[in-house]
Amino acid sequence: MKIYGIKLPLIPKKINLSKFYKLATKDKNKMFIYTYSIGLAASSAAHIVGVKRNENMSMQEKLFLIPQEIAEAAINIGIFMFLSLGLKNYTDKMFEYGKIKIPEIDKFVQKYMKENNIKDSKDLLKKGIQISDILKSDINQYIKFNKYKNGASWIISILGSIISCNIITPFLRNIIAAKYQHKKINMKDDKTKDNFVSQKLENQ
Amino acid sequence: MKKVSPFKTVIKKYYNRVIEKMVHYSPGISLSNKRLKDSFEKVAKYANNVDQRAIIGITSILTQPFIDLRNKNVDEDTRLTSFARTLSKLTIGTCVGIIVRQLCLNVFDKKKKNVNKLFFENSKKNFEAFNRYNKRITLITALGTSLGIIVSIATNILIDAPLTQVSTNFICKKLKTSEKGGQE
Repeated sequence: MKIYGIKLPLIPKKINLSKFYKLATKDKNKMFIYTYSIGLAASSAAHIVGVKRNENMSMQEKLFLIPQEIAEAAINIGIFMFLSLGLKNYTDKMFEYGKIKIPEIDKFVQKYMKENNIKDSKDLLKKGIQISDILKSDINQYIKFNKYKNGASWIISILGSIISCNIITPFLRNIIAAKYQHKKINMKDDKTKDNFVSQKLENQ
Repeated sequence: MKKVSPFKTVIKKYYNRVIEKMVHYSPGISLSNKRLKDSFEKVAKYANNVDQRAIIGITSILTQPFIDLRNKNVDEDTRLTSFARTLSKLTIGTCVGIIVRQLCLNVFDKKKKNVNKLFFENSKKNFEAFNRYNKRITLITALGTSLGIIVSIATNILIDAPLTQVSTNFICKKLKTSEKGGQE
């Protein structure tokens, strides 16, 4: 797309829905990270502008609040990716590799293991055999298994989000913003001291 | 061929390996409690984006402002302003976020119900049909989430940020005057 003869590479000629479809159906985690990051960045930008324009806040307060907002967005995205999604993946794999056993589904898994000469359920992880693959032949059990798995991983990922976004992030962002504020105030103090000394020397 | 950055693949490889090791060393659990199983089933069936936003939003209102209030690395004024701003930002953000997400979900709700009806009322269920159903549902959810993101960017700029500033100034004024009154 060209505007006044300038090429704008960011705006696609045609919105490609097949890419969106692929991302939404195959890479759910990626999709979640993208939407979460975009939302967080936009919200942070809006709030930073709001703080900058607020006339009732002192310069010292702004020096803390703006880096606090930036640090919050950055830490939230990073920590969310590792802790929240990590916990979700961990729960999914605990179900998939038979570490969390569901008695009515375990019968099918045991049967499959006997048929394929797998002695221990630990070997499922070593061989990369997932329970959802085993249950593909029985659709009702497959749906049941998916329900338990999705429910558990939803709860765990919410717990992860609460711990990461509501407890760890505020502590870290406050430390970072306070350090930035102190640094800026010290720099200003040094400058005013220098100005004061140079003025005194000039007067002498 | 599509180029994949080596940094990304290495991170992904080690990330998966760490999780697999964690699974390997975790003790096995048997999920025999009926109540727990029922609750997992209910969550999988009914829980959505709105519930997620509500749970995270409410817990954030209960924790984040008080963490700011106990921040001893800054002076009293900054601490109070930061408390007031976090409290108002989270309260307004949660309320607006829940409304926006609910509205966006409602747009696609009819489609989702139709897809659900098509699959669950069909007597011939097989793995391929389930996969197709699953893909449709995730696509509808993704469309709803994306619409939600676009709308929430607009509401963030038009509603959240200005309202947060007004509310922060109001709470700050109240807090600072009450503190001065207390000192006198």
